[in-house]
Amino acid sequence: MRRGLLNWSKEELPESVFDGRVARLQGAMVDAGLGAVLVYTNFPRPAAVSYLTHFVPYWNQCLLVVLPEGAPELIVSLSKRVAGWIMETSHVGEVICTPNIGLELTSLLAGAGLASNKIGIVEMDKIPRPIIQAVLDADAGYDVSDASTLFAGVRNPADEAEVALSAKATKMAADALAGAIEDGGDPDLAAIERDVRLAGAEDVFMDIAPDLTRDANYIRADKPMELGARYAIRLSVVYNGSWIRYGRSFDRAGGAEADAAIADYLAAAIPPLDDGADLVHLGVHANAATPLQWEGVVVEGCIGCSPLQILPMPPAGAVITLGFSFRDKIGHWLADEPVKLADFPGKRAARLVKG
Amino acid sequence: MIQATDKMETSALRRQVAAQRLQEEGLDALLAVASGFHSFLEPNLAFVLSDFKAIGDAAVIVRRDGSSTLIVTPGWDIERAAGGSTTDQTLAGDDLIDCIADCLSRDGINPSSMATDGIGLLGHAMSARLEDLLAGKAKPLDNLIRSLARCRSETEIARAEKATWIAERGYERLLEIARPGMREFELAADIYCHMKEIGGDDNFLLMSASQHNLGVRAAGERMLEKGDIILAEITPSFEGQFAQLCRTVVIGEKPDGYDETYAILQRAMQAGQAAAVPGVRMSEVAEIINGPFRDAGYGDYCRPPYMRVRGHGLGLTSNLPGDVAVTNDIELEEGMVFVMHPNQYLPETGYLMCGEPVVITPDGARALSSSRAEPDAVPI
Repeated sequence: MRRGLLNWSKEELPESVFDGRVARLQGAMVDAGLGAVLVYTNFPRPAAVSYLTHFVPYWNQCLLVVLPEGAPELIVSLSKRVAGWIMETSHVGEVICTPNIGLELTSLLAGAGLASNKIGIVEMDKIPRPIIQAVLDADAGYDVSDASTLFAGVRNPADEAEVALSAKATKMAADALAGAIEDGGDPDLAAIERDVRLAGAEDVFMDIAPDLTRDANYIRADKPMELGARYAIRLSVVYNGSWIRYGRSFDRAGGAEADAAIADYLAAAIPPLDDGADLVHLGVHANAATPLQWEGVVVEGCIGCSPLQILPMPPAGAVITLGFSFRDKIGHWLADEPVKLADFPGKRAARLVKG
Repeated sequence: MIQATDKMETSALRRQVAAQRLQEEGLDALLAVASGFHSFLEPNLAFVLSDFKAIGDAAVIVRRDGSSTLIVTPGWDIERAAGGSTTDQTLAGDDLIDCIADCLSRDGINPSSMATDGIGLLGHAMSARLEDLLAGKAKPLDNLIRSLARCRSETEIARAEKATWIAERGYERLLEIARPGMREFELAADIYCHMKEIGGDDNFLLMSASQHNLGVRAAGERMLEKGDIILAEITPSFEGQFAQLCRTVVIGEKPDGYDETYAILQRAMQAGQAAAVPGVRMSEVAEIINGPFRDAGYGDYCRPPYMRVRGHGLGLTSNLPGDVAVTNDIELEEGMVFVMHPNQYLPETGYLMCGEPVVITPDGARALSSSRAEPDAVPI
């Protein structure tokens, strides 16, 4: 559950950034002949609405209605008492507070004088059925379709604001992990979270792979767990709507040689990623990780409502997280590294923090 | 109340009750599904029947003979799930619907002899896939699990008491460190991490301050000032039981008449606790909570936007008895747990918060907290 800082820093995210993002979506929807685009948001799926308006629901669900012109309107299942706060922390036209989103939605659409009855819904597959059903049951006979691809097309490349915020989030995570473990002892997990929150993160989630000699999978760290001789900590940090993951492995017996090998590998493998269309370079540079053996990589980024999702073919210019797995004779080594892909071929990809 | 003394007994007894219902309905199996979202306001059906918090979408199949299977996603979480679940069998995979199909096929369960619960809680596409799999033949028994888990077991109440203890320590921390010049999010960060250190496994924390609050919200960058009224809705979880404290703190000297105004909320809380006995309708409790406000001349403020509800249910087991509201006619039963909070906007003071997690007993709503909300102040 979200519980950190919710604040709109207009210095880092001016209103013009959101105007530009919404204008790109409006242009795409007009080209696609859509009369409206609907974007859902709740606690676990806040990213698309946050990208367009900065709004994040700290609980309950909301729906953003984007029309071909004008500022988006937000229908929220929140009390009218917080409508003023929503307006302070979000760039939207109107906030409509209601317990029945579907009813307000159809009323809003009916009164909007839509030029087309084609309605696009971002990630339609995952939207709660009552909202879709309200649109389908409306007398207007709306033609509803999935607008995920359309949205993904305008969501990237990342703009300067997103890159800067992602870099700041990455630094928060890197700083917190850098000072977390001393002399092979157990890490103070609460202190790690405290450091990230005090640095101004909206939220931080921690996953731990507790024993890399047995298993390389991360588990949500919602309670203390016994850590083995080698373990990994991964922080998912959001700052002003930009999400990254940053993770590192720790070996109680040391591990400086492995850390150096991973640093060499990252330096060799990431710049040639270019625009991200071809991730083959990640495997090609496996020898740079010697003496570690390169095992594989998971690529995550944001193209829709989920803050981070697996992207086998990340779009050019996106901020992504590369989750690397290496191995030696004792077990695994994990490293999660945020990266900005190049906007077009010929440019180079870059890590968001050096280290 | 379910008389269960350990976690195995609680979820096993719930499955036993579900199996009895299947026998009464002449059905062979119940399929209960849930997303990986663990809300402080909602039940998670897979958790209720397995005592395991899955990372992703999950399901529990209960058969009429009482045997049970937990299915979790993602597939790699099988080891942890098998170790934590109380079901007879645990399966895992990366696609919940495929896993359910395999399980039903292997067990020879015909959709026409099945009941379902929670399909509508999944996303549109997954709901549709599941309904396709069941060919529209399964009998929806939505809210069955929510209903049969409406009264907490002794084990669950003990966990809720532990969550409440964590919340009280969080509030003590707030009183200890809040000071002018501190930013809201810095205070929230410290309180949250303190509660995590002492065992809170999740937390929904709203904490904000103003000289005249309209409501509580998520922490921002605002710097605390002398004369601020801090509102805190502190909601940690312990082993699947959320508990919520609502507290109000003045930084520095309290305004004239503040204690008297806050006392209205305290009287409302006391009246609500006394009235909330088994057999009474929640709507009657809400009316009684409104009484002290009406008596003080604030009857017109007992409606939105000046307040929303006088309390609500808590996840993850069952959110029944639901909202403490004049529109909720549910009859209270012994063992029901919820937060009772006569939080209220009043023109002289702004929004004030006062609330405790309570359990229904024959003598009324017993607070799970060791001390009641007071008109506290931080000396400066």
